[in-house]
Amino acid sequence: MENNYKKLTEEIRGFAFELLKDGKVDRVIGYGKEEYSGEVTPLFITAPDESNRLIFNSECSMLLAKYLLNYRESRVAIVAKPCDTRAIASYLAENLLKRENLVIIGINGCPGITGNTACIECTVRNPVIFDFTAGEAIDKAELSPRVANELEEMTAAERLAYFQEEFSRCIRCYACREACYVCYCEECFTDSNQPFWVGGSVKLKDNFTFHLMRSMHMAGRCINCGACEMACPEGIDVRALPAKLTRVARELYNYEAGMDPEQKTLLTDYDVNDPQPGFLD
Amino acid sequence: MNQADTKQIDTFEPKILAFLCNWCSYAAADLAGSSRIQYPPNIRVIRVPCSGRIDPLLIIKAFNSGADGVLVSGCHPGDCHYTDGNMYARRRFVMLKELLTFAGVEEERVNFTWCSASEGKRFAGIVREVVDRVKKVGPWKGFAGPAGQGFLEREGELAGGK
Amino acid sequence: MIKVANSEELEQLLNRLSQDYKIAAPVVKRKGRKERIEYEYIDSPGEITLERQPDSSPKKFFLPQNERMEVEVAGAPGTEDKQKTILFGVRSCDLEALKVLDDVFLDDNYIDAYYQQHRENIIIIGLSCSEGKPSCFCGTLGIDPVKNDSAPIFLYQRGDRYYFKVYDEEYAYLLEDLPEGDEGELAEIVEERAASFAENNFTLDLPVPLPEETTFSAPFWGDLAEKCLGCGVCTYYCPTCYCFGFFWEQGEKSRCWDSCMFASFTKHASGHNPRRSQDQRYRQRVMHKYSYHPENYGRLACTGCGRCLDNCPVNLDIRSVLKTVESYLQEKGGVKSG
Repeated sequence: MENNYKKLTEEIRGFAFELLKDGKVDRVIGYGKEEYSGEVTPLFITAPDESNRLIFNSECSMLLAKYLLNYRESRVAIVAKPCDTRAIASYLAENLLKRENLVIIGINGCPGITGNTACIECTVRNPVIFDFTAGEAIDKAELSPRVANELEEMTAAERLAYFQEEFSRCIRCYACREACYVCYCEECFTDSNQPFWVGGSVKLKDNFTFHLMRSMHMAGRCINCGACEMACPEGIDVRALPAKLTRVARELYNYEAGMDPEQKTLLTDYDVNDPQPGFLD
Repeated sequence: MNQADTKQIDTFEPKILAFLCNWCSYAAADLAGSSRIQYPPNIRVIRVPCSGRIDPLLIIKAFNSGADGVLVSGCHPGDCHYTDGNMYARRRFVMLKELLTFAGVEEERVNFTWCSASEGKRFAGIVREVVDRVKKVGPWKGFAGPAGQGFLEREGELAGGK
Repeated sequence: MIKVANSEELEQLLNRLSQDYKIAAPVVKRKGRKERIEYEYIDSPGEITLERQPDSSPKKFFLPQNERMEVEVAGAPGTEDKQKTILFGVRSCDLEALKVLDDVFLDDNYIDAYYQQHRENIIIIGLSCSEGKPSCFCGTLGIDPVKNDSAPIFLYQRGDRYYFKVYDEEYAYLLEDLPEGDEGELAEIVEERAASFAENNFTLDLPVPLPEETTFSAPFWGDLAEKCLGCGVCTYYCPTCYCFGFFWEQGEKSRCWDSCMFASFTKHASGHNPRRSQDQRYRQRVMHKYSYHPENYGRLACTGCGRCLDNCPVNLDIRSVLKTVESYLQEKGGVKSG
């Protein structure tokens, strides 16, 4: 079951080399290393010789799927963790990408990313959509995801205090927004002044409102990949609110975002017998 | 109503924003009025074409702007003037309510219901119920508020810079 | 003049100073997922940590992220607390960055009264770096991390000994309790540290300012900025980025940081955006730091503090970018700007 990063890297390089050599794709999006810092960074390669710059290890936290939106008209291969494949499935469901332009190199049996708390909750360790796979698929039965959440145990007042403390540190750099696969709007509500949704200053009440509004847009679309949390330079628990909504979607509607390119999003669909907890009679 | 009153919990008169759909709930409010059914004057009505038109962000913004509570009412499921606008709205509101209560907003402040054009009496009852619910939890402290302080007190500029 | 203290005396000194001054210094903030060191107002000297470079720059004391403009007339700063602040432990990179902010906000023709007021109310005590972090490259840009005379008082710490080098005698009264120290001992520390910083694996041979037209129209920007997400992290953590926007809310006008990395930064009311794509925006940031600011003020607007690459969600490294620029310009025949 244990996947070896060296082997994964070699397999990825092999696929990338062949695809570029045969001219099947114009570019491969994967992970590489920065020359000076040695940190993992997204890498875009166009020549077969460059494929030995590709790597894969436990630091590959960025969600590469978002870059696909920059290359809608060209043929692209992408190194995709299972969460990336879910993002891609969502994009396909929303008609944002053309499947025939895409070559997905899925990572089988994803071991999780260092420092990403979302990976502890992950139940999808194999790609949901792929053309090639690297590594050994993981047996779902072996998984024991931790879904319990300390926040659920708290009272409303305690949670309010918790989120106030978290969001008070927000500097409104919008890294969470830019890292998130859901956030591809031409104009974000934060930038809109007609209508005016939320103040751009770093007051706590506006920070709080921004995170609520951001999270509401994630409802039924968040795949709980943790990209927002990994991107946040201040280490704010920005994932807690959207992650809560993914749990609600699972419990109430048995809905899991990004599992199937044919699937409708939660909020663009309904059932006449939908539950309505908390509604007044 | 005097703004200073909102600071006193014992004389607390909540400000509740009510989003009512044009075809059913707004007509119900109208009927309650023309039938001379009394209900508390705490709601501020915004008429919308359909409950499906209400962007959840509007409700979050209402709380950011200091509303003590929100009431949303549309046509009963199956009766929507636009066939299924309220069906879409229902999922959205369930998610929104879960989000707000998880973030620490009291459940009593976020109210959703369905009310048809003929239910003037019921509409008055709903408003009474919602006002009671909001009164029970007291003034909305705001997303930035420390416990026990009213929204207007902290947002000094709103209360005249005090 | 040199003044010397041990940690006990330093604590006494800061306690005494805190009666007359607010004191801000790097402190460990362990909140949430990441441990951060940040400049904050402190209650007791025990909180101070001089261990490593703070994660955010001290520019927030001079250009607050959110500053209320009391009166909408230039030259009428706020009526806020005028109590003086001592900003303790500012390293060379951040001291040099302040010069960049001064260039802009204290330009003879356009003095920013708000900035000026903060600047006058804050006394800086500098700090000599004992070791760099992997992302630091101040030395490459000609900044000496070991000593810097742009703060009135500059501190060297070695073990339990604190050496204060007083550059501006006007502020010597702050340290009047402390005994005088020996210049020789200090010179020794400076020499020792200079040696430890001597080996530098990152060298640059760039014309400053960068030749505007050649660099601007270079073909590589699209590739370099391909991975840039367009968030504001690099600009918000940068000690020299000073762009701001205005917000009005309920009659209150405030000045907030803005970022050239945001698409909305240059968007016109008509909907037209002169910097349409992220590579144009990223190019603007690099060009501003290495071409436009040096052109206008004769000083690089980058101090090599390395915070932009420490905090970048995709680890975009400005050093690789500069290297690409370097090799391109060399290829172009070593264009030197005049």
